[in-house]
Amino acid sequence: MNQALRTLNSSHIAFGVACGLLLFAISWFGLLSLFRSELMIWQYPEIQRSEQNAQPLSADILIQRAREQGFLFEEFRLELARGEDRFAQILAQDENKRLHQRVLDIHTGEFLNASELNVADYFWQWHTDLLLPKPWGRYLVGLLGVALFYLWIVGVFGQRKFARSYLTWRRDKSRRLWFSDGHRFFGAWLAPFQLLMGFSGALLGLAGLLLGLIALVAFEGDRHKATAALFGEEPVLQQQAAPMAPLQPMFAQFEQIWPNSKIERVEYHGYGLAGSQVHIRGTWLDRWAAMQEMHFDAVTGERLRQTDFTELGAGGYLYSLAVTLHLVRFYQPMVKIFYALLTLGLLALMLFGLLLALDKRRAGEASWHWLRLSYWLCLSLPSASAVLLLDIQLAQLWARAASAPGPLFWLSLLFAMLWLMFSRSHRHALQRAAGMLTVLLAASAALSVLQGVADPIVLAVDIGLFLLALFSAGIFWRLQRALAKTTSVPPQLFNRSLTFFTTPTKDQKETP
Amino acid sequence: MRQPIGWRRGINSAVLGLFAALTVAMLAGTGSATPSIPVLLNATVLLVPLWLAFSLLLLLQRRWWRALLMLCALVALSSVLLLWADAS
Repeated sequence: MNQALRTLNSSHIAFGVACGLLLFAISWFGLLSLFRSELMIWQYPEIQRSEQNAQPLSADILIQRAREQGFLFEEFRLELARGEDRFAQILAQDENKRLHQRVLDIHTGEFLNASELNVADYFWQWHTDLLLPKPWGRYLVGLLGVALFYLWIVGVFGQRKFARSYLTWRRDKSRRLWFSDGHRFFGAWLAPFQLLMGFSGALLGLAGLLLGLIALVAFEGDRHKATAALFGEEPVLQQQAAPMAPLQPMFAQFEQIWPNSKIERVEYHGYGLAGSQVHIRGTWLDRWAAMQEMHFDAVTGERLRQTDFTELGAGGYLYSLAVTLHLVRFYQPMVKIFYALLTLGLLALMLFGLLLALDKRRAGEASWHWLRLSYWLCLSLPSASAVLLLDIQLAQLWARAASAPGPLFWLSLLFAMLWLMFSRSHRHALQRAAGMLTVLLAASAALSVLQGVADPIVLAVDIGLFLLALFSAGIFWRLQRALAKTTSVPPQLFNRSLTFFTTPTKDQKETP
Repeated sequence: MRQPIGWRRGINSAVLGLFAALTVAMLAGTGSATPSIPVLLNATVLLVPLWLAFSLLLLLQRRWWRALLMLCALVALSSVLLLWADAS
């Protein structure tokens, strides 16, 4: 191997070891966030479809209903129902920059009895900010997007025979070859997806910093001027009340300019005041262009400005495309399922990479300890997430409020970690993780079904959970069969588990 | 040899690569007659790939002066290309 290839491979390993755990966490919660709307419907029986609630209310009436229920902010945004959703979200920041967020039933306009942070939003915050304060969490996620992009580059160009990876997976040679081929196999097939997710994730995560750069270069460091150049000036408000123009004609203008588009957001600046503006944002499905925006005078309904990202050069269009492609704004359920399968493959790619790196390390090295911790955490994350899903169903069964997702998640993660730390080998740990996931997912889906399913989306989520449980059960039984062939060794945390990635002893030997 | 590149060399390459990519964005942004949003958007979208490309280039070169020379040439070339794309 020549020097350049060795350098590429070394940096691939170093980056992978350092960022693997966080990349796995972001991808796992990305997979769950793909079905954010569906999980919201699954979580709240009030918005599930029934005979009475056939007609959704218009955006104007939803805003009226929100104000009647005490949501009296002048600056707020309404996230409209997407696709088959049964809910809309209304959000505003108070003077102390605290976010107020309510979920509205689009058929009645009633606020859902939802806590400020529900499970679907909790998964979303993990994916977008790693639960860190804004904007630092977003920037970190953006940098991890850059890391994924870099891993892709050095992973692809660091191999001499990349094409061979598509069809090679030697399962009967050695454990290391099995991990290595698995990593390369998934890497080869998922190369375009990894590139897409890495690059678009980096753009979305670092968008704030990049906007700052534009401001620095072209507007002498004034971020407001840079934002205004892209999205228009802030309105000048007057302190006298004025009636708001209906939104429907504005929606019609939006759809006239950008036919076959989906309006996603209505944002008011100075609701109920003279001089206020309403900004309407949506995705132009024909061009896969998100963030298309139109500004109107909220009192007269006159169009003031429009931002068309397809006319802002290749760079502008790429930003817009990145949103559509990364956040799957296609409004097609099959595309979501396709993305979900690809993300599962990406998770397998990362897990194989982790196992491969672990297999290459000597026991006791600092990176060996870090990798083992990463492996256990990666396996614990799905189970801890599944506990939150089970808690939702138990809460519905016992007619109590669902627990706060944060403490329950961390507690479940800790228990799952401890359970995996007592395992004999990496396969034993994987078998335990698969077993836990099977039980938790199957129980969540079964409880949901037992409480009666009238809504097709709830049924689809239940089927999805059953399928995932079945997949986990398959891994569990397969590993159990394989482990039964090896000599049984009683698991001891500080004895076996600290040495299980070293050369196997006679009584511990396993076939790969 | 498991680690032929050291952490210091890796970090140096990443930081220098980032500075080079930022220089391209700055040159492209200030080089146009008026602040042009499309050219700046192009530059910011290219920032990440350029950062990685420059860092890799630095990482793969054995002689630092050769890497630096190549980097300067690439920065100038990228900036001119961005401005030319905007003008046309």
